[in-house]
Amino acid sequence: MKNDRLHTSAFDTELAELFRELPEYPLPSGLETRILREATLRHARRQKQLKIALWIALGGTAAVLLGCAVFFLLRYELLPAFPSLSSLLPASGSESGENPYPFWGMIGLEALILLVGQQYLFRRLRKQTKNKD
Amino acid sequence: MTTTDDKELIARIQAGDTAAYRETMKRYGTPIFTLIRRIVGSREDAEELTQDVFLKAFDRIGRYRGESSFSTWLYRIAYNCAVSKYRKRKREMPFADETAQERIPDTNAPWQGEDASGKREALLSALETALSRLPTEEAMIVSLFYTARKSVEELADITGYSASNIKVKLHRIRRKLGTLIENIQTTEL
Repeated sequence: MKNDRLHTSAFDTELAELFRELPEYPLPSGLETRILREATLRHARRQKQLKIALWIALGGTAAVLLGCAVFFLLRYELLPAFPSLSSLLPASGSESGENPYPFWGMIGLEALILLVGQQYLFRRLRKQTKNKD
Repeated sequence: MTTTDDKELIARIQAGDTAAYRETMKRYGTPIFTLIRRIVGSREDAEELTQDVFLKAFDRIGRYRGESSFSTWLYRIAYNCAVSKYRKRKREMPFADETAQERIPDTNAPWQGEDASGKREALLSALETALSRLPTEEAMIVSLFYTARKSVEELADITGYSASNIKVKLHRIRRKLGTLIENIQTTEL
């Protein structure tokens, strides 16, 4: 018996004995089934939420990377190669001449390119699905 | 501290093995249900609270760090669930005379000297009734001490009180319980 237990008096000992003799209540089997079912359901739900969160994080990272790639492609490859494309943009306003293309104009152009690319991908995918059906 | 069996069980639950839930229920279902059933009194309320305790435990198992034994951790959840659920519930306290508690001698049980064999069952029933009449927190502390055999330090860990505070509380609860049992027996006679 542990030293800190307060079994120091007859009253206490009697109480401890009484507690030992109190009837035990077995866990009802129906309750056990209910708890197990709910716990398993919650576990499955948590796993699903975790998977969705993971996909969102991955998708977000991929979108940022794609955005950066398109931006640099536009800035250093497409715009210098196709002057007619750069004529779509408003004047840069930069006097130093280091940045010949206005930033927000490029972002707008990039958004337009991504939107067109996304629409093209979606249509192709839809067509493929229809062909499979 | 946590036993090897418990460690293995916890590792399985943390790894997402839902079959380990059943084993946990087999191991701790009856002790937790018994504890709650004695305090709450009604079977329906005890079932609801036991369900809350186990679901909370399974949800939070990832946070279990093994600093206390698994049973202590589980009893802490049970204690918090019971206390927060029944905090506002006023229990019937038949202490018309508050000083009556103080008159109970600490060295002798109030029922001692009676024909113990004949009155044993009545005594046990009176103890159960007295437990259900105690405020939830007090009923929990005294039941964890005597039924779950938790030490003062473990009780301090479960309740968040200091060890010396728990000792004082236990002393008071025992006296209160003695008075309650005596009152219940007197009323029944």
